[in-house]
Amino acid sequence: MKGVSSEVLIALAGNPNCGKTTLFNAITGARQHVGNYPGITVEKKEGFYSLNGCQIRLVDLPGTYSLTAYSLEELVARDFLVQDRPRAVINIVDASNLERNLYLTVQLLELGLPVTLALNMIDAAMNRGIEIDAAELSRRLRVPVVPTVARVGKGKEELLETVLSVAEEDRPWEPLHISYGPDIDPVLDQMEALIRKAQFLTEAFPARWTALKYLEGDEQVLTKGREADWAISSRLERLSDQVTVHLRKTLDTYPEAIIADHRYGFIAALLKGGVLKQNKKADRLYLSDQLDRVLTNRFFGPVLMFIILYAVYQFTFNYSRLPIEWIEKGFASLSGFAETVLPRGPLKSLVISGIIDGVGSVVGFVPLIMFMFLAIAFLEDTGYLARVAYMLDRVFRTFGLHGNSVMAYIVSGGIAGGCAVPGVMATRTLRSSRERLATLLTAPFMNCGAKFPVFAMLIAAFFPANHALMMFCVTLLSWASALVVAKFIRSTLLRGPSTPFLLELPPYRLPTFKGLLIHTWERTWQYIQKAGTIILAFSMLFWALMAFPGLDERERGRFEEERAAVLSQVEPGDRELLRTIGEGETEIPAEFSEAVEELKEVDRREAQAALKRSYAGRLGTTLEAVTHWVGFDWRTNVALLSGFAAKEIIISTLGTAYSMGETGDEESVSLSRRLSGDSGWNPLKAFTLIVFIMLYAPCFATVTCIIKESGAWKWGLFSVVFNTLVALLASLLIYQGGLRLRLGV
Amino acid sequence: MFGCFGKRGGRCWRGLNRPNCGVLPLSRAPQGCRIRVEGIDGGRQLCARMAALGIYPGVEMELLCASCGSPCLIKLRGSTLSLGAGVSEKILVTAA
Repeated sequence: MKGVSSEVLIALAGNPNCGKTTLFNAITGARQHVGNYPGITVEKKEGFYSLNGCQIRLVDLPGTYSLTAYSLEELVARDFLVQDRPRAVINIVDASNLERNLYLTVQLLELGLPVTLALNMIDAAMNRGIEIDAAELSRRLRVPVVPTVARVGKGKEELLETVLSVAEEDRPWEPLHISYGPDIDPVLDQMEALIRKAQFLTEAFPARWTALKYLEGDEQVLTKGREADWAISSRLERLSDQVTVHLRKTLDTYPEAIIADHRYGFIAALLKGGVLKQNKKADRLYLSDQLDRVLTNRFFGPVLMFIILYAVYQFTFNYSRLPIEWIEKGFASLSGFAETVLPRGPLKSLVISGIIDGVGSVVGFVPLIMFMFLAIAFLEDTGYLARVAYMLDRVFRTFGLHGNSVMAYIVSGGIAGGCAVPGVMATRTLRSSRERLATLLTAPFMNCGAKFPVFAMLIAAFFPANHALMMFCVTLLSWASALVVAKFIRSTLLRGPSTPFLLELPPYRLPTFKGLLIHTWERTWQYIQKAGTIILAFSMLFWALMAFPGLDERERGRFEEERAAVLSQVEPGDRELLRTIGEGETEIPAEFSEAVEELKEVDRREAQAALKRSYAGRLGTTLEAVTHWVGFDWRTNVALLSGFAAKEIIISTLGTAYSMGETGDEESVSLSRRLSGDSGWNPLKAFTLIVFIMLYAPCFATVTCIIKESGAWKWGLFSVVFNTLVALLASLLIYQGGLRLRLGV
Repeated sequence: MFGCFGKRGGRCWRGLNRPNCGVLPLSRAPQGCRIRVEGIDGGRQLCARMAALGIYPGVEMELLCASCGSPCLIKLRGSTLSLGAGVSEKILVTAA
């Protein structure tokens, strides 16, 4: 082993909802997401911790119920344990549900891993009248057992010291040997001997474990075995088939059932004789169950769900208004400062139109996103989000999706905010590839945190009276579109039956303040980072695309002539004064106001002409051939093109486009006021644009993820083309329909 | 019918005698009763999957909310599980 002296690799394994991620946060203080939702930590997460001069690298494995190859999480966890061979494994178990949690422990021990058991939520177990003799359990299992309360970090130090001493011992792996009864044991021994003799896969797995996996018909191990040694693998498969057929005939059961039965038998024996004492009051309904009686009630549940989701909007909008105003004012004064300091020219244009406007419009929405993430983190950490999935499964099934699709939708922005990138990744909890693909392709329809500010801006400009209500409607619309399109995809491209719904509803918990802050900050920081790097870069790139190549000599000359014509109307002595008015500081004498207005008009037309001639303008103008049917002019087209890179940029591009159309001597008007004052805009056009942005091609980052998750380029490409077509169609219906009915014109 | 938790402790297995009241799929079991798993009538994978979740023959649990087309809710040793119709119709149960 390399680098043994400095770093110790330790894995954290456990069931979903046993407090694994909470413990991980308590130890490493890592900025990462803790959900109360099974399977949210699909990604491998690492953290570091230093103890007694020893650097611990802690890996948070996805929460799993077993180590079969049933789900992606289980495979990820198993592969890591087998391939990376951590020096020690912390197996965190929920003390109030010990029996089921030990099912995973038994499998870890059968693999021979050096396990340390963290008996978590020992306080909750005691409240439920469950008493556990940790010392006796440790003696019987022959692994260290440490009681912990991850929420408050209790037992953390002792756990780490124990784990470190296990890791330092560095003993060879010793697989646990369980008897599987007269039907399985003989053949298991036979297979084990065969494997041992042939050294079949023994570099990765213990012999008996491989034999068990053959009996369980584990696809991954079977594939590996066939690759390694076809002859041995076939012999093992034949033995396994014989047992399976025999068991079907005599007992009408499968090897898996017998294996599971004996594992639970082993666990039951382990907990007998006072190790686990359960007082009779355990059967009563606890607060969590009482809450569920109301919150998942067939009639009140959905009603309350809508009220809760609506409250998220109210909370987000009402509390973020003030900080947003501060930030807007800050950037406006910064803009004003640059206006006075910098000389007129391309640099000034870059700084004000490219950088300050671009970053300002993005940073201005940070408070909004922060409050929203806070609300979402609260729903997740309390456990309510899992109830939402449970309640919506019936609805989702009708659209050919799965209750777990809710998670992907919500993370993608089903509750306004979020991001399609983690949303697309959240589809890994879906087992069936058809449902998964359908979710993957429709999740980007949700209103991610990047589209959100664009909508907020347009709504502020054209529907100022009904801000929150409008936003709520937009969200409902995106859900409706996603579901309808999903149904369409599932009944055309991806036809097939649905997979069963299986979800644990974690008990309601009061989220810790620290946990909420970590989640909120982590997601907000991601947004800021994006705003600071990619968005700024693209904002400048698009400024360049819009500023170059500029007008040619002849046209510039024509505007110069027009200016001269205006100037010729005033006295020669005042002409210099008029020229400097454009710089912004001079008071305008009343008698010149008309001439000044005319000059400004010329400037405006010149800037507009330059923009139209720019690279971006030309592309946007070309696209007008199609987009005029939905009411978009080239400026909107340019903004939409830029949104392809990241949706946040739509605002800054529109902002750049519109502030460049002015002479710049007016007070900096925020984009939303600028648009609402523009004669080319009306509520119908704004609404059409909202719908278009909601549905059209996902951003590059999302497309990349779709390709990665689906494993095929065609699905990434498909999402770009298909989504844009859907967006065009929907916008066309709304815009042309609206024009006919004279709505919002 | 009003609410999932409405009829706790009501008449379970109506019309059936208690000792051998017959085996029903979980999807058709009456709600609010204690039930015992008799078997899992599914493929190999479902068996293994259910076992990992703690549902195997002999286990007792409580049906908090019957399915009626949507997932049902069961209470099993302190944890609440929701099972879709596709799963619950394959779990055979009897009154505990």
